[in-house]
Amino acid sequence: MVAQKITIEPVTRIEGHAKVTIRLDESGKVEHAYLHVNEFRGFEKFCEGRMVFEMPLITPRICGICPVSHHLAAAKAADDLYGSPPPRPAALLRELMHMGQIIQSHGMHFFELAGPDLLLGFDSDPKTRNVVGIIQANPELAVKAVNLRKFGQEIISTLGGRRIHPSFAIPGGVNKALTNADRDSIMAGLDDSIKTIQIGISVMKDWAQRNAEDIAKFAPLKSGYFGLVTPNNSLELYDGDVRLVDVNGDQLEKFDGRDYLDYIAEHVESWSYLKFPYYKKLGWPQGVYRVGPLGRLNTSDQIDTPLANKEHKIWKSLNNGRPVENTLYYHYARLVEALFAAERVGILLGDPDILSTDILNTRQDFKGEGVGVIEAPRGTLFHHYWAKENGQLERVNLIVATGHNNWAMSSAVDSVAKTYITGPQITEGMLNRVEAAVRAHDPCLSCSTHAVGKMPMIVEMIDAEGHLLQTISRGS
Amino acid sequence: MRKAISFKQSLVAVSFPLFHFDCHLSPDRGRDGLNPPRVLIIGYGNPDRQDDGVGYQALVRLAIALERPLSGAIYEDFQPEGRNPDLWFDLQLKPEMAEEISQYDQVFFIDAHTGAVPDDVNWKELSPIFQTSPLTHHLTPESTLSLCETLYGKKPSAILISIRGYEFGFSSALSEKTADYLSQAMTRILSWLDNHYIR
Repeated sequence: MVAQKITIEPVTRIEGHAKVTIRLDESGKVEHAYLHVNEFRGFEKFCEGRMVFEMPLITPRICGICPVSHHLAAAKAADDLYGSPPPRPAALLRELMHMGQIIQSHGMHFFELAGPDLLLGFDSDPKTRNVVGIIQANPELAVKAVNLRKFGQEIISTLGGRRIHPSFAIPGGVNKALTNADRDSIMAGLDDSIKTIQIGISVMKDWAQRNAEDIAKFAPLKSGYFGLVTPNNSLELYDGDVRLVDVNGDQLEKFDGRDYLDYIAEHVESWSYLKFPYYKKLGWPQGVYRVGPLGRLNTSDQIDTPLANKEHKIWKSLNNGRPVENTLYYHYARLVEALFAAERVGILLGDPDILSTDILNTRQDFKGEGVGVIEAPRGTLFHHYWAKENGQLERVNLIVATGHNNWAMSSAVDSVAKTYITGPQITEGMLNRVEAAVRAHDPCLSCSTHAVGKMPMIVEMIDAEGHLLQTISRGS
Repeated sequence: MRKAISFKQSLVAVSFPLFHFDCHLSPDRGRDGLNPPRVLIIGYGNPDRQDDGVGYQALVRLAIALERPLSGAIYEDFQPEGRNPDLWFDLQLKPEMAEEISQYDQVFFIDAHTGAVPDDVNWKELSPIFQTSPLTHHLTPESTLSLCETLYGKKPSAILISIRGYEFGFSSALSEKTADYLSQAMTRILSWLDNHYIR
């Protein structure tokens, strides 16, 4: 048999989505699988010439999935650039909004994207392997899941005044204090949200127990891990220093996010538009690392909220104290983080400063350069701005989570393809597993545009002479 | 904005054919003007990515045609607020929209489309069918309707109006061709509203 190539790609050319190419060798086995992400860095150029104070409003337009993360990272970079750190109440309110984002994003990912595979099976009928299938199989859980996402969205809209692109964080603080009534309203939904997340964790654990073999062989990757931590190395999503640990969980670095350029370099591969960040001192590819929920739980020593910390102890036991390497455990980590975020909501709402009107620092010590770092739901997000004295931006650099995880996603696709694709005929279940390797990382591939006709996926098998052997199309 | 004014002027100058459209409304609703269907028009896409923002631009033109005030704040201007038709903008469709959609008799989705769709202006009746997005959080109109039906037991009539896009760079201006197609789509939407006594 001649060597073959299988290509999974969007039919149309619009940027923002990925393409998977699976090369088969002459015996029909997978030789290598590649994930090509059509990166679009034009947004940075788009921002140049704008005013720094506009950035918290402009950058959320990068993405409809995590606008709050860009909003807050932009505000933090502007704080830094203007030399105007926010008062404590403003920082608490920003974190509260961020927790809302984490809850809604993680909740949606688990129940809508990952849940169908876990609850209904990778090989189940694709027509019902979706959130509607879950609703039909477990309507009560489905309604709870929708309400969980709604709870997160309500936190965002309560603070930001709208659910889409919030207008809340500004350089030096926020523009609106929290009222007693709003605090009580958010608090009223907290207990149910925690219970729903705990149900999700039970579902995940039950599935993991029954599918240990699948988990073990589904893209176990050896890498470093990268994420924000508190001073005592607890999980941190809003602030803190960046911690980088190695494959054994030993600390390689702990640094102020402003210094990221001293630690991160980017590798280029000819087959991908998206660069591959890595830890400079170890070089490429030894310095590869993972971000996002799995990266963060592996980077942190504990979690400072009781329910999530209990789960984190279980997490630490999964690989006998060493970092958890299995890609499918991203889903468990995501739920543990959602639990942490919900507990943080309770803690933040209980803080007396949360109702303070001291929410804006009007003093400035202009520095002309600023970095904002935050843990977006899918990983560490950097905003770095350089501006003239009048506040007009001269240069912008953004590193998004999907970039950090480029190596992880590519390697997971390669690993899963080699494990599950056993011959030239690709089954729907095999294809779904390859996609699940990408989905586990919850990449922000929808960062740019959506249009009808854009989303269909096609799988093509092409032999070495360019003959099309098999085509599989995706319906949406 | 210039194109929107031009469009208003064209409303005066051109008489449009009436479109007969079976919108699955019950016979005693809408056409007698006493009990018009509750209509929600959702425009979605990224207004900062040229033709991907055609859904938003459609809402702007509709607001002008319906003499609704526009503040210029992209998102605040288009939220469901109990008017008929209600106009709603979002960057993309999301699961929680299903609850709001369940409150209406008729829903329009307005989006851009690309080469995979043959018509320049595509007017398509939709059924609630969930379509799994293999990699991302992306939700289609059919999927949103499916969530609405499954979660809330409601099945509003729904139409997708998609308009061919050509340019998707970082700009808030539509390409000339897409702007022209948008004008054609607006004609049809406004005729539909007129036929159903919505304005």
